[in-house]
Amino acid sequence: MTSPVITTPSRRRLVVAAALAMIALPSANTLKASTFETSRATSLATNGNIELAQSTVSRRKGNSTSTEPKAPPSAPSNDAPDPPSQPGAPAAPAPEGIEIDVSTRNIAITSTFSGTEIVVFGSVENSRQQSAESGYYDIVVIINGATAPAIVREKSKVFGIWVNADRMRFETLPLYRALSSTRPVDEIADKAILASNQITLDHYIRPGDSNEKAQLFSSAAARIKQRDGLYVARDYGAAFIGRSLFRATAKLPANIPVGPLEVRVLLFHDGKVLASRTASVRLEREGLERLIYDYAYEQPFLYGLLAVAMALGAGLIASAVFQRSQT
Amino acid sequence: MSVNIWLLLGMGGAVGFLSGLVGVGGGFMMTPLLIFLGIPPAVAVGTGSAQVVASSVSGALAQYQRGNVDIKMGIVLLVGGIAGTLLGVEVVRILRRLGQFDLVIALAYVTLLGSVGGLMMTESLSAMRKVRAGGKPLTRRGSAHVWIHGLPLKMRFRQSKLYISAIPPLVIGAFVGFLAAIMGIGGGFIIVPALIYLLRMPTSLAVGTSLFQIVFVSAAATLLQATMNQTVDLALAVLLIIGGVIGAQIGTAASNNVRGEHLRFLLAVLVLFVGLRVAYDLVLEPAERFSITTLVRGLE
Repeated sequence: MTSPVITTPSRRRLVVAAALAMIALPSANTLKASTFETSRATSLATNGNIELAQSTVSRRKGNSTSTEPKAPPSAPSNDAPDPPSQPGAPAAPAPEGIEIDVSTRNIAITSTFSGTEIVVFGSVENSRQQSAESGYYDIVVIINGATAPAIVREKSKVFGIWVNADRMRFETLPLYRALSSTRPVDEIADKAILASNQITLDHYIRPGDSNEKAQLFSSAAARIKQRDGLYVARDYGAAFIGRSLFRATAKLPANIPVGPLEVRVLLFHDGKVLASRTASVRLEREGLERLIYDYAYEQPFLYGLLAVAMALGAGLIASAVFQRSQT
Repeated sequence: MSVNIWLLLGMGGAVGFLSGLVGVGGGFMMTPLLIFLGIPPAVAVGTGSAQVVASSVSGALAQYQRGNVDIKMGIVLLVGGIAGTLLGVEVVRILRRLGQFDLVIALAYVTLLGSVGGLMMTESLSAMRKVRAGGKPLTRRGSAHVWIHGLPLKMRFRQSKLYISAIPPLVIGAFVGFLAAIMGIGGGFIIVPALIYLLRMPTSLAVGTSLFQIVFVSAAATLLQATMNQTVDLALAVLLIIGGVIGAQIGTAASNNVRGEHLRFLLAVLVLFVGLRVAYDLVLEPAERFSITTLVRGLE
């Protein structure tokens, strides 16, 4: 698609949030919706602790499925082409595109981090749906954490006790995954489309691996991750709040593995992907948590010495305090 | 890993209270309880070692000031202890790689808690019976182990008034150091009887010398676990230690009001219960037969 591209690697203030919603609504014939959505986006921004000011906001338009087209450096264009959104005008309607952003781009994992929620919001350009409730489009938001090699083990009964017996290694196990959609994903599109876009919580670990054992172990891995709250599906976690504006929430549990999160949003209509966009969220250890982590893994000897010194100190101080209070 | 702070403080306090009440280290209760809470066993063991350091250092210092530490014997035990700890930490590393550490620690705890609990229960029951019969609680004397005197490498331990081979204390030290590393315990309940009955050390010196060895061996175990396995959780250790030292002081104060043999009986019941629970988890078909081990440090 050769639609106008706006790339704004700028560091602007919260105005960007409002601008986002404005650009999202190129058609001037829905003034009422426009004002509503603008205020909505701004309130999202303030509530959700948005950090647009310090982040690179890139907004692109166009159709793409899973691959992100590299934005050509085009001249800052004027507004998007006005869609012929009058009913009964069938002449080549402009295709839909989406723009997205997340409520928080940097999340600090401190020692008191007890989980949080991020809001993914965006809008459909050239929206053809009449209202938020029409259900013309579906939105699927999928968030992927970092991947890591992992071993999945299976216990068997040996001499009356349960012992790890069989094992299988996975080179790229996603450590966190969240799925939010306007309705259950299997109602949105068929299995093949979902699989090719990697929208499932259970069989993407080794796509194409038909081996029975691999199937068993990869679905076990997904089951454990779901149990631990690290793979989460929210069937109605995404919703339209206007003709084109939508939002979705995703829960980041307290035990979320620290690493970058990739947020992918897909726009569906009639079981087909119309557009997709990605954004990213950074999770970083901060404060005491970061200090402890850095020491534990980069200076393990010093960390050990610190642990010993702390234990010796605590034991001696406690007994000294107690002896004084006794005499 | 995230667990409620107050729960950990409370658990440290409860174990500390018990150890203050009865006069045991409490490491052998702390590790299984941490595992029940869902702390990875390797982290429970590594962090348990740090907690043992905190709970034994003040006792060791007090014993030293009273002249109850046979330094020479302590150093011989310690040499064996450090060697055992090194071996133990390496064994932990290998077992974790094989995915069998959780099994080994569970079996070790079933054995340990079963035997310690059983011994404490029979001892406290017979003491209660003796007291009821009007007699004094019996103190047993171990039989002389003649074969120990036939071993080479004899050393003179002036303070203990012993002239024995250095091999038995080295072996005792190494065995306890090994257990300290793989189980996160101090091991006083093994060294003290071994020193008294095997080496015929005077009881007061045996207690003081074992505390001396426990502080250093546990400190070495903490340092090695942190360096080689990254299994010491400082935040967890702080909470357990704070709870533990306060609990221990309250327990010590409370111990004056309760009869010793009754306490030991109650502790025996508790120890056996925890041991049974560990055994039950081994035998019971797990709700989830699969488990995941992430191979990137710091991401599990």
